[in-house]
Amino acid sequence: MHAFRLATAFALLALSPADAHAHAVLDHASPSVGSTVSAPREVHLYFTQALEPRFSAAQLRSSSGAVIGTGHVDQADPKQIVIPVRGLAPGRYKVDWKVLSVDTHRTEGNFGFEVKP
Amino acid sequence: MSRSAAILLPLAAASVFAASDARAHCYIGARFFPATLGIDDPCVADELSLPTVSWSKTGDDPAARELELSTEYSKRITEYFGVSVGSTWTHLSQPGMPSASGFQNLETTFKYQFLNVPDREFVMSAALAVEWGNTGAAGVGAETFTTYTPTLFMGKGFGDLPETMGWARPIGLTAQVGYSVPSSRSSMSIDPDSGDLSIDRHPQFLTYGFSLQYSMPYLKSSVVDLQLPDFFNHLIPIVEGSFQTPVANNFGTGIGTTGTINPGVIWVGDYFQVGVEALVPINRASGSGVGVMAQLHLYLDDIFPTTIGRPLFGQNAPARPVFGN
Repeated sequence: MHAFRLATAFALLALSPADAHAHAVLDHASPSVGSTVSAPREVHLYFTQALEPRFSAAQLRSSSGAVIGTGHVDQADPKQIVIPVRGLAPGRYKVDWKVLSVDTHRTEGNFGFEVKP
Repeated sequence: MSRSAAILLPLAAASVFAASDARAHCYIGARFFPATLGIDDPCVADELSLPTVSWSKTGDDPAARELELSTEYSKRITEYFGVSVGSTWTHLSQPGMPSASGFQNLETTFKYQFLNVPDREFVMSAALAVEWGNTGAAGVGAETFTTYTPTLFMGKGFGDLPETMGWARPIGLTAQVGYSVPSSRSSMSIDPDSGDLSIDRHPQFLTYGFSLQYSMPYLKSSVVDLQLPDFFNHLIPIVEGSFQTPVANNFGTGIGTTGTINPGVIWVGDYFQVGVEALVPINRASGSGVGVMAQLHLYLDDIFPTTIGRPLFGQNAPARPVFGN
C-alpha cells in the first residue's frame, strides 16, 4: 500500500493548487455558435479563462474565405474577444480563434453562424 | 527497480521548474481527446489517474470476483515525450477458495507523440510499455517475467467534415495496436496436487483497442450551441473496446482472444474528469457478466501550470496567432 499512500498524498497536493488556471476554451459566443441571426455589429467570443492579449486573436471570414474582420482581447474583460463588423450581408460566416491563456496554454477552434436575409 | 523508486523518481524530477507555453493534455486543433479508461489516449501529458476502480467477474469456472484499484502518473519530459508509471492492486475472491490480494506488476510506459495535424484533428504517438516481472504478487496473477509492448496510438477528430454533416463533427476516434513480447518463452512449475513438472508457455500477444467518442463540448463550441444545461455540455459519451489475441508461442495453451466492450460516459471539467464505463466481456473467457469501471483523472498541467504541470525541458516560446488562408 506504500504506492497508494504516495499517490494519495500527491493527489491531495494537486487538489489544493495555489495558482491554478485551466485551458481557455470558448464558453459561448454572440451570435451563438451555429445560429441564424440578423446582421450583428460585433462578434463576441467569451472564454473560460483570461487571455494573453498579445497572443490571442480571432478572425471572421465570409463563406468564400475572405477575411471580414479581426478581433482582439477586450481590454476591459480579458476573457473576451470582440470582432467589430459592419454591414454583414446575408450568408454564412466562419470565426477562427487562437488564444493563449494566462497560464500559457494554447487552444484554438472555429465555429460558424448565418446572417439571415 | 523497486516499486517505490519507480514512483518517486518521476515525482522528484517533476519538481523541476520549466518555462513557456504548452497545449498539454490532449488538444489537437479544436479537438480535445479525454483520457480514456480502457485504453490509453494518443497524447503525452502531465496527469494523474487516481483512482481507477473496476469490478468484474473473471472467466474462470467458477468465476472469481475481481476488484482492482489502480493509479497512473504521467509526466512530460519534453513537450512530446513523456513517461508514465502505473500500479494496480487486485483483490480476488472465488467461491470455495481463500481470497487473494496484492499488487500486479509495476508498469512503465515511454511515449513519444510524433505527429500532430491540428487542422485535421489528427495525432499519432508511439510507446514502449514495460511490465516489470517479479514486482507484483504471484497470488493475484502477477508474472515472474518482464513483458515489453511496443504500441502505436492514433486519434482522429471529425471536425473537418462538411458543415452539412455537422451532427457528425463532434465524433472522435482513438485506437491503439501493440505487440507484447515476454522476456522468457516459458517457465517450469510443479503441480501442487500431482507433483508433476509442467512447462508453461508465455505467448506473445497482439493487443489492440479503440474508443469512439461524441464530444458535447465540441458540439457546443464548434457546431451548434443548443443552450443545454451546463452539465450536459461537459459530457463525452464513449464506447471503448480493448482486446488481446495470442499470436505466437501459444500452442497448447488454450488461450484465445479476450477483451471487453465498454460503453460509458466521461464528464470533462477544467481541472479533472470523471468517467464511468460498463465492462461487457466479448466471450466467456473474458469474463462472466457485466462489470463496471470508474476513474477520477486529474489534469496536472492545469492544476499546477507553472510547476509540476510543465514539461521538464524544451517547450516552445509563445507565438502570435497565425491564421491559415
